[in-house]
Amino acid sequence: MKKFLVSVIIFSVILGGLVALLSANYAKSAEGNFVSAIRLKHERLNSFKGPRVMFAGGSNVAYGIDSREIEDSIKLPVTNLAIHAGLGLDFMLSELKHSARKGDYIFLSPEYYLDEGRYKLDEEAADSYPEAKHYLKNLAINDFPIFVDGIIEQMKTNKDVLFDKLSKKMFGAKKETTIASITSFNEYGDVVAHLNRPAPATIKDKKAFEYRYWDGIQKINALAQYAKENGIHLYFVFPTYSRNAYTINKAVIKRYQNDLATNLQIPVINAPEDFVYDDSEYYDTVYHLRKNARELRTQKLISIIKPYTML
Amino acid sequence: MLFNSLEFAIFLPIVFFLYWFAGKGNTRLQNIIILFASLFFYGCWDYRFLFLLSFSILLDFYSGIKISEATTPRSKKLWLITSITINLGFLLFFKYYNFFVQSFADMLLNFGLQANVWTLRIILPVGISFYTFHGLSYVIDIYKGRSAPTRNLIDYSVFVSFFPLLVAGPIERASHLLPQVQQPRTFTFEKASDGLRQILWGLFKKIVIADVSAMYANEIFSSNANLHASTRVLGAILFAFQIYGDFSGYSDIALGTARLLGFELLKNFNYPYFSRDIAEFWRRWHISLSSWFKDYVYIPLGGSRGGKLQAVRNTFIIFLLSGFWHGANWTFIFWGGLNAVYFLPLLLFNRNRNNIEIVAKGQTLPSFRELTAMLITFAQVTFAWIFFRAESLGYAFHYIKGMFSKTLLSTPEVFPKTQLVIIAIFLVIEWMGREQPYAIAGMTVQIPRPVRWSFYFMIIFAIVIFKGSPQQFIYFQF
Repeated sequence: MKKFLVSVIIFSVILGGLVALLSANYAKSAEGNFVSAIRLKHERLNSFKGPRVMFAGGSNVAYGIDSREIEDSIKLPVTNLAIHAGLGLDFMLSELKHSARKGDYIFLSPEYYLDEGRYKLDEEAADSYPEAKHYLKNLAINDFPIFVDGIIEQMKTNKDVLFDKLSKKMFGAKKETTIASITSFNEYGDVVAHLNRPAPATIKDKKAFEYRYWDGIQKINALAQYAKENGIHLYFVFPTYSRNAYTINKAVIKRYQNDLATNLQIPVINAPEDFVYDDSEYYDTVYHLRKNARELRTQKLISIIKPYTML
Repeated sequence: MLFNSLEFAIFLPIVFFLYWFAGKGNTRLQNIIILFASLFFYGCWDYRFLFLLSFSILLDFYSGIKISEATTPRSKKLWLITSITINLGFLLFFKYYNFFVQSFADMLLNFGLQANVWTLRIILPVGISFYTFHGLSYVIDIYKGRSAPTRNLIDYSVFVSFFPLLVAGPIERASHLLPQVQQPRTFTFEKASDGLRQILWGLFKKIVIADVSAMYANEIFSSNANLHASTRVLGAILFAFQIYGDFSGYSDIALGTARLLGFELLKNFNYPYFSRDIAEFWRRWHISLSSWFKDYVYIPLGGSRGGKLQAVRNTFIIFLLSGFWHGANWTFIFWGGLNAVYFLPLLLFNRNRNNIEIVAKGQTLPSFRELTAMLITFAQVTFAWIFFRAESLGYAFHYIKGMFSKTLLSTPEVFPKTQLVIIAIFLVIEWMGREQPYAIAGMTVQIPRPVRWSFYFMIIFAIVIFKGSPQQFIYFQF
């Protein structure tokens, strides 16, 4: 037994060292990376005096709306705060809580089943914009699974980066399917760099959901309470989603929608099918709209939100 | 609590330490620890079903004693029938009630009669098919005089509820496991490290091979789009690896966990995808279920003793039963029937025992003939898996129809290159280790520790980096 336990301990120690080595965030302080756009977005947001309109969520919002057009239409200053679903729902809600003030309008449009952050993007964002340190969640003991997930995701990211580098070195591949730079955004906070680029052959993230009650509802309700107490208008908007992925998940999304309708304490102002477009209208994932559908979505979004911004 | 969950990663070391340290040298105390651990493990799914499990344990324990004590053949038989009826009654009710009612209503509808059927919202208790079969084999063996009953309720409870095998087997026999429960277990370094190694391999199969293949197979099987024929073929192949990685991975974890606690469970898989004919496949796939049906159904029905016709009849019976055992759906029954059809020519021409030894034993590569035979068998099995995977027979035929078109040679719309490379590497490792109890069992002390450990680290990192979204073990629903 002693020999076994000693072996297990030595094995675990070496494994722990390797995990630490392989899960370090080597790209953490890259200048001008995608999430560093958070600084520009908040500079814009803070430059307005009166009531403001904010769009929040993951990259489905970042890639898929034309904020300039919305601003022109509703005659209120618009900032697209959305960057990446990998920042996680906790980070986004905390960001809104810290940023919104009385009279503001928030349209929250998270991806389906959005939960905790990935790839340590929240830390990267906080590196670029120190104010965002306040948005970071302090992990409690029952968040241990999240901590483990974070390590795993970072290792996956490191693997992807390594494989990309190797493939470029070996095959000279121009594998540039993501728009991973601060320069991808316009002054409103929308990602625009993809609009004139050819789309990759296939779109990613087309997965089948397994129904579960989304614990994001409870988290949004906490923000709803804060918004109510502080005169902030908070609304829930369903994200865009590719037709094929929507069809696969239709039954689950229906139940998800019912849960929101029953339990969410803020108005849900549209339906999931409102922003469903053919797969060919998407750029690289089931959430990233290309030019044409981005325009269609923007027009529809304006018609949906306009009555609420006149309150 | 799933084997591939964080909860199990905490649960197992706690049980291990309590078992070997607190229960040191005291078999009774060790058995009590296992029993509580097993009930906790099972209760994590739904504590209400603990009552059902306990009832099943008490029923068979008591029936076993009564059968052995019975003085007349009639009372012996009465106790056996009582036990079988109640056991199968529960199984039929929980698993098949709605199926029978709905099928009856559908049949009436065919005759133009509309029936308002009364279906129930029944939750299927996890593992009911497995522990029911444990109990049945116990009482039948006592009735047949093949084993003696135990009078120790704790020992018997451990036999039925032993947590590594409780929810998805292997289906153990009392004659194999009960003596191990009753006798002292000794800890050895070799056994324990072998157990850990098998757990690691099982996790790799489940998390990397099964779960990732499942992501793509689900996408293909659930797509309503007009997919290329090549995509559908790929979907079926990915499902073949999903179900193999899922179930054999589970069995590896179960066997490894049991070995950590000093137990040896029955081997459940023996490289089935390297089989050269369907008979060999069924000797290598879910071995504990196949042998159960053989011992408790096929042989009592007369086996092949009454000539070809009887052998054919009995073969169809056990394949159809096996299909039905898997679930209350015509797809499973059809899957069972199709396998019986595959089996038929082998049986008729006495070729069903042609391939007993593992393929290309002692050689590095198979012959061309062996390779062809393996590929044909794999194709047959994969084709049958479509029925197993499909939601309905109609969908299965629709799916198959889509596999035969001009687009068979075009690039599949869903083409997971990385996963296919991983499956290829996995097959190479399985091939190299095919004469071992499990593929990496040869990684023993003969190989220098740095090499061995580097290999383990690579598997661990492969699990972490390539893991797919967690999927329920397929066989839990059975």
